[in-house]
Parts: sequence; C-alpha cells; structure tokens
Amino acid sequence: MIIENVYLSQKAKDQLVKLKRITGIQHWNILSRWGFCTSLADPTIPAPINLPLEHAVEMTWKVFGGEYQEIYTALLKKRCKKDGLPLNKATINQQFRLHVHRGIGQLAEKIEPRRIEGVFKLE
Amino acid sequence: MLFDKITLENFASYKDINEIDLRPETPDKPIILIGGENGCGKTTLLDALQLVIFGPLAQCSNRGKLSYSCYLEKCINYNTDPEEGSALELIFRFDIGNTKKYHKIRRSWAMKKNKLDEEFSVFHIEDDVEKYDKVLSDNWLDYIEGVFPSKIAPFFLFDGEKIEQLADFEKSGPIIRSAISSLLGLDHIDRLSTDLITLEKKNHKAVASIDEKYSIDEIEREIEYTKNKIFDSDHEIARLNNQHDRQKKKIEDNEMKYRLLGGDLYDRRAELEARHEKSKEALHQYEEELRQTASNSAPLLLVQDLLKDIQSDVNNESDTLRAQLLCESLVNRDQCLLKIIETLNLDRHTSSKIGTFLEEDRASQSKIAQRPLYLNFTQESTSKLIHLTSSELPIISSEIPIQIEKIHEATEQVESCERLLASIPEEAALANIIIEREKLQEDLRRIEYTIYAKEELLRKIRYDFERSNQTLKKTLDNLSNINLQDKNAKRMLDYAKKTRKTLVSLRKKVLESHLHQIEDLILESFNKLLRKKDLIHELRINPETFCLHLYSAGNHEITPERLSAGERQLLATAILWGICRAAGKPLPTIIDTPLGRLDGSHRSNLLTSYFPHASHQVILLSTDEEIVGRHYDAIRPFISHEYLLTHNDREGVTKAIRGYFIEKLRNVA
Repeated sequence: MIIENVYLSQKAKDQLVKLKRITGIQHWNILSRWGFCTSLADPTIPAPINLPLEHAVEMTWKVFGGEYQEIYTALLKKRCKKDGLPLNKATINQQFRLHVHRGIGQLAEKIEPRRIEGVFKLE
Repeated sequence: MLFDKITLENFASYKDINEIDLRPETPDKPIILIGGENGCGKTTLLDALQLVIFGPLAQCSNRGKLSYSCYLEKCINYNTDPEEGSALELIFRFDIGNTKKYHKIRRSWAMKKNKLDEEFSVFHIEDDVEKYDKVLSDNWLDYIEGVFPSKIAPFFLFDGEKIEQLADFEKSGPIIRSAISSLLGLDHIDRLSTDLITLEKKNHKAVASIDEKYSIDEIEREIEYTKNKIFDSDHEIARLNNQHDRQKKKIEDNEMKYRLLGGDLYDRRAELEARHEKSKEALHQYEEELRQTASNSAPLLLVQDLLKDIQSDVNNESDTLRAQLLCESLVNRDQCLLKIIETLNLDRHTSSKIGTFLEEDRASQSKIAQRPLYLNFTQESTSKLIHLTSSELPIISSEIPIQIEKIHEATEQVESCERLLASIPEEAALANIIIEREKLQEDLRRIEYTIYAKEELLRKIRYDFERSNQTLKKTLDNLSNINLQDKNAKRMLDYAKKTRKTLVSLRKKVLESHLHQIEDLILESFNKLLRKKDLIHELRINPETFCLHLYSAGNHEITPERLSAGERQLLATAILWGICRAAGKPLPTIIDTPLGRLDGSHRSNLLTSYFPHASHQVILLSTDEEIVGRHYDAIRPFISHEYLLTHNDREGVTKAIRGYFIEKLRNVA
C-alpha cells in the first residue's frame, strides 16, 4: 500500500474537534475524508509547508478510506499525476498529508452554514 | 170485607189443623159465636187473625216486647217439632170500587237450623181455583193498608182490655187521637208537615250561606295591583338584561386586553412547549438523516470530475492489460501463422505484406501494452467505481436537496415555536387582568341569577294574574247564579210556609167537619146503649187533646166520676162503635169477652142494641159466664153458627168444634 497511516497535527485535531461540533459527525475519519475531498476540489497545488511531526491523530488508511479506500488512493494518484508530480511513495505521502491538512483547515474555516448541511454546500 | 174461614195449624195451643168457618149464613144473622173457657185459646184466635193479616205490624196480646221472630217461635205449638212449624190461613173477600176480590193468605213458619224461616203467600181465588200472586205476596202490607188500615184494626178487633183503656178518660186521649188521625188521614197530613219543616230548615241554611257574597271590587282591585306588579317586573328584567349585556361587553374588553398581553399564549404555554419539543425532535431526526448521508460516499461528490478522469484511466489501463496479454499470444500465433504461410508457398509480396501487417499490428498492440500503469485497479474496484459514479452518487445527489429542505422547514418550525415561547408573558403581568376577569365573571353570574329569580317571580305573578281573572269571571257567573238560587230558596221557603199553613188549616177543617160527625156518631151509639137516655146531651172531643167531654142538657159538663163503671164501659164501647161507623168501611168486628165487666142490664143493651148491628160480620168470643142463658137467648136470632173451643188440659191442646156451651152442657147433662 502506498500509504499505511494517516497522521494529523494538533492544529488539524483542533479543527476536527470544531468540525465535529459544527456538523455533529462523530467520527474523525469521516470528517477527514470530507477534508481531503475539499482540498482535492481546490485545483491549486497545496503549498508545500512543513507540517509538524506530531501525531495528534492517528488512523490507518483502511479506517480513513473505509469502503472506498482504493478510490481514495486512486484520487490521490490521479491528482498527483495531474499536478505533474512524480508518482513515488514519498511524494504521494507528502501530497496526501498536505491535501488532508489543507482540506480540514478549509472545511473548518469555510463551512457555511455552520451545521451539517454546510458540508453539502461546499461546491 | 168478610172473613170466610180461618185455619190454624199447630198455632199456640191449637195442635194440628183447626178450621173455623166465619161466614154468616144469611145477612140477617151476622153473629158467629165462639165460646171458650178462660185460657183455652180465645185470645189466641184474635191474635191469629191479626197475625195472619198484619204479620209484624200485628198488635198481638202476648207479644209484649218480643221481636217478631221470637214471637213467632213462641207461637209454635209446643207439642210440635219446631222444624215442622206452624201456619195460619185466612180466606176472605172485599170490594175495591166495583171489583170483588177473593183472597187466600197463608203465613207459615218453622225453625230451620235454629233460625226462624217465615213464608207468606197470597192467592187469588177464581172459580174455586187458587192462583198464587207474587206481586201481592211481596207487597202485601202496602196493599192491605188501603183496605184494612193497621192503625184502625184495633178498633175492629178488640177485647175487654181495650174497653178498659177507653173507659179511662184520661188515658183514652192518645188512643182516640191515633184512631181518628188514621181514620181521617191526618197522619198523612202530619207527615207532610214534618217534611216541609225539614225542607224549610234546608233552605234557610242555603239562604244564609248565600249571604257571604264575594266583593267584586276586591277582586278587581287585586287584578289591577297584579297588573302593575307585572309591569314593574318587566321593566326590572329589561334593566337587568341591559346590565347583563354591558357586563358581557366588559368581559369582552378584558379578554381582549388579556390577549394583547399574550394571555392566550400564557394559557397555551404547555401546548407551545410541547410543540417546541416536537419540532426540535423532528429537526434533530432530519439532521441525523443528513449526517447519515454524509457518512458514506458523500464526500466523493466533491471530486466527481476527478472520478470521471479516474474512470477513463481505469478503462485505459484495462485496455493496456488486455494488450499485454494479447501481445504474448500474438507472438506465438503470428509465428505459427508465418510457418503455415511458408508452407503455403505464397508469393513473397503477399507473404511480406502479411508479415508486415502482423508486425505492425503486434507493434501497435505492443505500444498500448507498454503504456505505464499507475492505478492497477482490481475487477472489484472497477465495478465499485462504476456503481459509485453511475448509481450511488447520483442518488445521494438527488436526495440531499430534499433532506436539506426538510431540515429548513423543521428549523423554521423550531424558530417560530421559540418566538412564541419568547413572547409568553410573565404571570405577574397577567395577574391583574386575571383577577379583574374573575370579578367580572362573578358579577355576571350574579346578574344572571338575579334575572333568573325575577323571571321566576314574574311567572308566578302572571299565573296569579290569570287566576284572579278567572276568579273574577267565575264570581260574576256565580253572582248571577246566586241571585237565581237566592230567589229559588226564598221561593221554596215561602211556599213551604204557605203550604204548612194550608195544611194546618186543612187539618183543622178536616177535624172540625169530621170530628162533629164522629162526636155525633159516638153520642148516638152511647144513647143507644145507655139506660138513662137523656143523661148526655152533648159530647165533645177536644181537637188538641182528643179528650172526651160530656155535657148535660143544661150545658153542664159531666165529669167522668159522675158515670158508673158500667156506664163508662158503655161509653167506651160507644166510642168504638162510633169510630167504626165513622170509618165508613164495611169491616168485620171481632170482640173478645164482650161483656166482661158489665153488669146485667148493661149487658142486655149491648146484646140487643150493639152486637147485631155492629157490622155485617160480628165474631164474638165469649167465656162460659158471658153469653149464656138469657143473654144467649137475646142474641140467638142473630147468630149464624157457633163454635166451641175445647181444651184438653192433659195434652194442653185446644180444638175448635161446632156447637156451643149449651149443647155441651146439654150433652153432659
């Protein structure tokens, strides 16, 4: 498997807490999915910031992806390809982390209205 | 009237059947002489005659105070079985107007189970045939009263004792009064007078109560008063109704104030709170549903374009994989094909063309086969992707707006509930209004109650009014009736008084005119019987007391003491004779011990002057010391036939046999 584990920063964790409160979705993996897709929907390449190394939140790829984990893998690869980035393990991992962190942040910031229906209004 | 025959069956001392023929053989021999010693049954014969004719009305000698049944029981012969009983039969005749009546009457009685059973039958006798007459049997006393009045019977059937009574001038008044009253029908007049007095009393009472008349004025005043009361009551009720309406308006105003302050919301707090809860629940539920949707494949809605790209990449990669497989088998197959073609010995051009084609084909395939793979989807993943993009995501996509709409509506509900709840006022704000409302309602109730009470009262007054009107009407009717009744009653009183006066004067006149006649008759009879022919000149009967007063020639009253005992007895006999003659009825005369208390010369007078002329039928019951010897000779020419009542002391039985003392004596001698 290309990605084994999902590690999220403290900041991301705080944002997930916030999102949990706002949307009422109890599970962080689901919220992370939404974050990831939000970032993928943004056509710009995520800024290659240095993410903190802490593992405030930790989950396996299986847990993250659930039923559609290979679809999520495919989405990541395709996006990397589209962005013209090399499809090696390091890049893919890095890109995933950047996307998921960016997405969670965007979601936490921009979710409107600040209720569950907000997630459906992101398009 | 004439008695033909009397039959006694087991009556008193007469055991078995004893028949006595009473009919005079010829008109000039009216006397039937019956002799009997004292105690043998002479008086019994007299009693039998009265008993058979008058039944309970008979004044029998030894009845005393006994009841009729007891007396009858006593009369059954003591040698006879009481169950067999006794009987009396009488055959007699009389005239009513121009009609001749011939009757047989039978009175019988016996003890049946210790109770006296009496039977009485009346028969017509025509051509020797007896015919029972039920009507007469049932109404005998009324019938015979017209022929032989019971009140004057004692003057035709008498004994020495009666003579004694009449001889006593002081005691004779009532007897004479009774006889004369009956005779002259005065008892009827007296009864009529008494009835009229009763009628007068009744009408006096009626007139008296009529005097308590109603005052019409009083009633009319009452009606007017009631009318006014009704008028006032109506007004009062109208006023109260107005008050009622005003009060209701006040209550309405209060309610509006209440509403304005949110009172109705206050009242509905519980309801509103419940509604709020419910709408919150609904909202929550819809949000949960949406959350559920968000938890599946929904995030992928954001990357549908990317998914489409992936889809085509997956198609390409499957082509590549197929191409890879194909290349391998193509090499083999082409080698085989080339070998076969070589054997076919085709021309170089063709075979090279084929070979080129195969090469180019392999090359193009190879090109495809050499495309890089990065996705490496499994069959499973491929179908999952297809399902996702073609089915699942579109479905979710269409559901989401609906769910969001539901949420919006539910949210609005919740918000409106909250708005309402927010506008509920504090209890304190409403307190005053509520207090005011309660007071207003209480006042309203009071007014309503007052109205109700007044209406009830009015109903009653109207009822009284109706009644008063009715009373007035009735009174006016009554008054005209009363006037009429009054007149009627007064008229009755008037007439009753007048009638009584008339009756009194009728009585007086009847007495006056007849009394003279009776006085004359008695005097005439007396003088016929007396030896001293000129002793009495005038005889008066006092119309009030019915006492006899005698006067001599010089108008001096002769007091009773002046007469001897014998003379008094003769006078008594004369009274009887005179009354009988005054009665004007041809009735038989029956005398028991006729000569009892008289001395010799007086006896002869009776014998020659009285007995033969007393009636067309004279029955004399004599002892062996009365009509014997020369006395007997004196009346012998007038005797039709004789009987002797013999008494057997040993058996205590009397028998009537033809003949008289003289013959018996003769036989003994």
